[in-house]
Amino acid sequence: MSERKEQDWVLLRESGELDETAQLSDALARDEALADYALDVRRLEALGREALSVDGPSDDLVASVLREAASEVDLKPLPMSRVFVKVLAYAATLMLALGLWQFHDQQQQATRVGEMQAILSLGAMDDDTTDHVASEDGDDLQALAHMLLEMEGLAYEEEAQADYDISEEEITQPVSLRPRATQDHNTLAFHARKYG
Amino acid sequence: MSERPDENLIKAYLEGDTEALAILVDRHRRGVYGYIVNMVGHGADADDIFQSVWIKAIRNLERYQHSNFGGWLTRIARNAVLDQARRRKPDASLDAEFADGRTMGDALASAQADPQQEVSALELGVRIREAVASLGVEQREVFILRTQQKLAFKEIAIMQGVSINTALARMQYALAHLRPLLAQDYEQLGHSS
Repeated sequence: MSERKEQDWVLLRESGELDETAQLSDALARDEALADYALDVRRLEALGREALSVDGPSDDLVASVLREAASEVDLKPLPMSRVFVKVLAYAATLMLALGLWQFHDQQQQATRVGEMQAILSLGAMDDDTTDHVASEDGDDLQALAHMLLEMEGLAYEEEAQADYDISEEEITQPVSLRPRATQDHNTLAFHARKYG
Repeated sequence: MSERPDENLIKAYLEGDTEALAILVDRHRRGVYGYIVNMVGHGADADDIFQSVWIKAIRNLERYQHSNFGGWLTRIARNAVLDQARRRKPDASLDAEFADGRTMGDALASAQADPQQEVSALELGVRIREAVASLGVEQREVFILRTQQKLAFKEIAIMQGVSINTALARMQYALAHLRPLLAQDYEQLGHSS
């Protein structure tokens, strides 16, 4: 390694651009002139830093820079990329809100259908159960009524549920358990047809 | 508490936090101003350049993608120094003359010969300043960028548009010019002890 090359390595080591290699360490250990050079470099850089340091700019000058900067921020329009990202973020938030609202709505509807099906399923119970159910409360009377209708062949099939628009009113007032429009509502007429 | 990184402050400023910029300016004001003064001397020129450097930096902050904000600012300052000189004289280089006919070298020498600074300066410091002022412009700039701005040789080479070997050679030249001052100092220390 030439002397000049070794000195370059010392400079690069001082600037933090070169880790001290074994080769450089060996050179510094055996070459006194290079070791002196390394010491002088370090000292001159420190002295130079001190000798060339100047007082900072005046506070007035800094204040005027900051005033300019503040007006730059006020006047500067957002770059297109940032506008696009903002619009995208707003749109995503809106979509998410709509999705959640729709999901919530569907959940509520599913609950209502479940309640309705539970009420209707009471109609499929055997007689023993019916006795028990009938003794529970007034709501269960609806189930009993449904069973009676079923015995007479007037109860509608469960699939028919899909033909109804389920409303809050129908759930809370399950008296709407009525036969399909195509069936004869008049029991007497029915009996007349059946037994007559 | 750890210092907020420059990149963090830049991001905050771009989101509208002007206080972040105030911190950034305060952190780098001395370094930038020091480079400018060492290149053109104290005075209105230095103040104008300092202001133009920051305005240019602020306008280009969104495009800042470096890892060394101080180095990036120094590069803007270097261009501003050259622009200022070119406005005075269209074919200007680093040896360009300013309005009063001084070159940057003269300006540097006079800036460093500021009597107020000399009073408080150590004798060796004064001699170093004078020796630096007597260097060629390229060598002087490498010495300033390396010692005062603490830039790496790789960055200095890019800034000056030369190879890293050339930047190292310029530093070697500057050090060869300054080392005898240390020798005198060692001698004096030897005599006095």
